[in-house]
Amino acid sequence: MDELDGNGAAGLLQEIFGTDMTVTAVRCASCGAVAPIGEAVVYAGGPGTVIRCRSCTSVLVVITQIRGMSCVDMMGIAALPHARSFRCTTMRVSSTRELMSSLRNAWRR
Amino acid sequence: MRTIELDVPSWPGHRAGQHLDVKLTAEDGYSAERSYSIASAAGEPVAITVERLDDGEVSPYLTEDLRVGDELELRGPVGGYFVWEAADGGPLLLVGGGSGIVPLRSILRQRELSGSDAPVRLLYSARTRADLIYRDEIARHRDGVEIIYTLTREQPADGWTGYTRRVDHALLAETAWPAGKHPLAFVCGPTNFVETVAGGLVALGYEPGRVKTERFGGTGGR
Repeated sequence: MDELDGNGAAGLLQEIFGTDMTVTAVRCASCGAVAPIGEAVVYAGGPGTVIRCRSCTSVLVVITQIRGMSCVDMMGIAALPHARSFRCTTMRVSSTRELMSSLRNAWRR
Repeated sequence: MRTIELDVPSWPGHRAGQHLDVKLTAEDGYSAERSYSIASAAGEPVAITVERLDDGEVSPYLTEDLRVGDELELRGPVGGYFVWEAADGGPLLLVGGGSGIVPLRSILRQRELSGSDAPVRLLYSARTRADLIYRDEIARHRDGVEIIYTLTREQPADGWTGYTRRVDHALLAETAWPAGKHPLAFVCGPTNFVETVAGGLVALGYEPGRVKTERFGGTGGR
């Protein structure tokens, strides 16, 4: 399977998050490395898109799309900018608006 | 290799280095999506340059079957990481392997159109002379651009002034801006190529945050 980087998932991420995510720096829950999504390792050839940490290869995000619904699993991300405490969670969302509202709720918890 | 100019009525404009995604859907509903670097500068008509991959699902259609007047499903412009604007300045080190030259061409055109005087060094690696794309265009540039070619699978007998070797640490040390000039680097190509170049530049003292990378997969061979 072809190994790309986060730039190759820019369109998919923008569709889900409603903004460019490639410049967003995230912290890996596994090794603590902080890097922009654009630098992460991306495997896009399978049934879903898998984004892995370039430092330790742990899975950061898994995105699957079926019947117009996007399933976004961010278990591997320990921190996103502007979030004081972020606890990861799996979200099934059908729109950007719903995702942002799920994220806000996750941050509040 | 084919350059395709797209007429997108609602195009919001793009920045040099961004991409667009092309989605093809078959009659049975099966669809395949690929991301392509935009080859034109900001303000120019949107263009992509597509390399035909024999085992590809999208590139054979785009390079052979697509005709003027056909419609495509697009998403874009996307990406903000591998992007250069005149205000970002330089000196710029552009390193491209194979079709990794495409977004670098966009950056070079952007520099030309914007009148930027950022000094540029372009190191462009390809298998053979015939594989070098945009060669005539790249040769026509304003002052301040140095072009360095290297071929990895051909040793031309006549009049070749470029290198004939792989890009490695030694070649980077010989051709890249010294780290003391605080250069901004853009590296695009197959994954292995990008890893070698980005690692080499950081070893030469480049700041990791000023080495922007874009990997388009593949196993290299450039």
